[in-house]
Amino acid sequence: MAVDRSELLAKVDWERGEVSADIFIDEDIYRLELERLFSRAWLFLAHDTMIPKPGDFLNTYMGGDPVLVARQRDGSVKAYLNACRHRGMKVCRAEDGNTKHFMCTYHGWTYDIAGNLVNVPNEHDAYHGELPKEEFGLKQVAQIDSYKGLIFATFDADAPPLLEYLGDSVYYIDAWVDHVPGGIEVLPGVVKWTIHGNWKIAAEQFAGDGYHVNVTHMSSLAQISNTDLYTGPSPAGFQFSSRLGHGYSGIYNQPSRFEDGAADYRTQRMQTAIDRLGPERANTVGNFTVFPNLSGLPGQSNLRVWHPKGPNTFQIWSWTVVDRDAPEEVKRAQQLSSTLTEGAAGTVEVDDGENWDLMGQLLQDGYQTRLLKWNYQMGLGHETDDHATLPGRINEMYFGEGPQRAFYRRWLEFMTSEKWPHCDDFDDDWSKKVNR
Amino acid sequence: MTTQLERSTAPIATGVTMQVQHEVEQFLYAEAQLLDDWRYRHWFELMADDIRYRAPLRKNRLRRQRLEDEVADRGTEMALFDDDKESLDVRVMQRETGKFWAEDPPSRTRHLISNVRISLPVDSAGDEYDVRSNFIVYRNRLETEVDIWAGERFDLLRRDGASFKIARRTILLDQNVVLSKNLSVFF
Repeated sequence: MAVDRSELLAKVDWERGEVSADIFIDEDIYRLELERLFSRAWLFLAHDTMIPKPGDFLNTYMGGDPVLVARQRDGSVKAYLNACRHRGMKVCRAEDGNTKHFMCTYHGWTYDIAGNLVNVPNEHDAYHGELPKEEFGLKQVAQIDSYKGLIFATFDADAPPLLEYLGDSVYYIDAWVDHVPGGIEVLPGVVKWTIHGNWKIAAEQFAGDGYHVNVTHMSSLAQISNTDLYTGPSPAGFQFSSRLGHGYSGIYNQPSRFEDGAADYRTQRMQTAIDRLGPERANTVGNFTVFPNLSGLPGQSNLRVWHPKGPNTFQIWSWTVVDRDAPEEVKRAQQLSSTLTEGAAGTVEVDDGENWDLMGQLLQDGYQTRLLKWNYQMGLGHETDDHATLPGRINEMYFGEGPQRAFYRRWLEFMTSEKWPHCDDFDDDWSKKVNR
Repeated sequence: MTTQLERSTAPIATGVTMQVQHEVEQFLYAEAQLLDDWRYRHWFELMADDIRYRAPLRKNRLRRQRLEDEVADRGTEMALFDDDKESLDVRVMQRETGKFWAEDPPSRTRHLISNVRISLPVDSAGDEYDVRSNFIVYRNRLETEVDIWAGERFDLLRRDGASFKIARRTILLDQNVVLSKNLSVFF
C-alpha cells in the first residue's frame, strides 16, 4: 500500500480540528479512496421518479466507475457496472432512456436490463457453443436498496444494511423527502458541471459550512433573500453531526432561502410539515451531506452528487426536487428559481466554483500549500451528544464545523481500515429519543 | 407547424434583404462588444420586456430517443439558464454589487459571432426576425484560467427604431457536462 496508516492518522486530526491540505490533492490517497471509500460506502444512485417505468435506465457513477441503473419489469431496480465483460467497453453511452437490452458496440455482446448476458455474436461457431453466458453478466453491485425513494448501492457485500448505514441521519432525511404525504419527485434534467478541485471540499461544505454563505454569496443572497439572516451573528439554528459521517446544518423559522414563485406554496405547506415532523425539522432551511458524496439544500429543493474524477477534479450532478403533489405552476416556479440560483450558471453557485477551483489550483502547483494544516476548530467542544430531542451530536448554532470533523473522522476510518469499518460506539438506540 | 429549427434550415430565399442581413449582423457585433466591454447594464437594455433567455441542457441520447427539436420548450426540465427580464436583471445587478467574487476581478471575454442566418417568423408582422448565429466565447481569467465555449443561438429580434430588441434567445451550448467551474458569463 502506497499510503500507510500512520501517515493518514497524522494528516487528519479531527479531534483537534486540523486536516492536512495534502489529502485534497495526493494521487495515492485518491486511489485509496476509490478502493476503500467509494467501493465500500453506500452511494446514491437515483430517486425512484427518475426511472419510473420498466426499462427506464440512467447512467451514473459510483466513485470513478460507470454504473447503469435500470428499472426491472417487477418494479425493482438493478445496478451494474457499465463495462462489457468481454473487453470492458461501455455497453451503453446514452445518459438515460428506455430499453430492453444493452448491446456493446465493440463486438456486440448484448445484455438484458437485469444485466444478464443474453446474446453473443458467433456463439455457436467461433465459441463452439461453449461460452458459459450465465457467468458473464454485467458486474452487479453487491447490495442495492432504497429509503423513501432514494436509491443507494454499494460494491461491498460486507456493508451493513442501508438503513443502518444512514443511521441517525434518517431522522433528518425524512424532513427532506417525507415532509408532505405525497413525498417528492425529481424534475427532469441533471445539471452537470466540472470543478478542478477535490470532491471532499464540496461534500464538507454542504455538511456543515454555513459560515461561508454571507461572504462567498454576498452578491447573490444579499439582494434576493432576507438579507439580515446573512450578516451579523450566526443565524439561530443547529448543526447535526452523525458518528457515521453525515451532517446537516439548518436555520430555524425559515421555509426557504428565497422569495420566489414557489414561496407561497412552501408557506402554505408548512403546517402540514410541522404536524408531521415538528418545527425543528420542518421549519428550517439548510444544507446536508449524506456520507460521503450525496448533498443537497432541502429548503431549496436540491439534491446533488459530487462525482470524483481524480484527486483534483470532480463533477457536480445537480437535480431539482419538488413535492410530487404540488400544482404544476409551483413546480415550474421552483424550476425557474433553482435555475437562477443553482447549477453551473446559478447566481449563488458560480461563487462556489470560483473558490473550489482556485483552491485546487493552489494545491496542484504548490508544495508549501500542501503542507498547510487547515483549521476545523469552529465550535470544538461546544457540541452535545445528549440533546433533549435531536439525535446525533448537536451544535445549537448554525455556524460551526462539527459536521466537517465528523465527516473526516469517518473518512479516516474508511481509509485506514482493511475491512468495512464498523462503528462500535454508534448509538443504535438513537430512535428511542425521538419516539419513532 | 414548422419549428424554428426547420424554417431556418431551409435554403436561402427567405425574403431577407442584404440591408437586413447587414443590420442584424452589426447589431449582434455591437451586442457582443457590450459584453466584452463589461457594460452589462447597457447590454441588458437590449432585451425586450418579454425576453426569454434560455440555455437548455444538451443530452446524450440514442438516436431513436433523442429530442427532435432541441430548441423547443421543455416544460419543467432543468436548464443552464431560464430567465425572464426580471431574473436577468438579478444577474446584471449581481455584477454591480462589487461583491461578485466569481467575476471580480472580472474575466476577459471575447464573443465571436458568426454564421448569421435570418428568416421571417411565420406570424411576423414584418418587424421581427428569427436569427441563428454560431458563437465561440473565450474566457481568460485571473492568471492562467481559460475556458472556451462554442454553440449556437436562436434569437428572435424585434425592430426598435433604428436598432433591435432581443425578444427571445435560446442558447445551445455544445457541451454535455459543462467543462468549466461555472458559467458566470452571458452568451
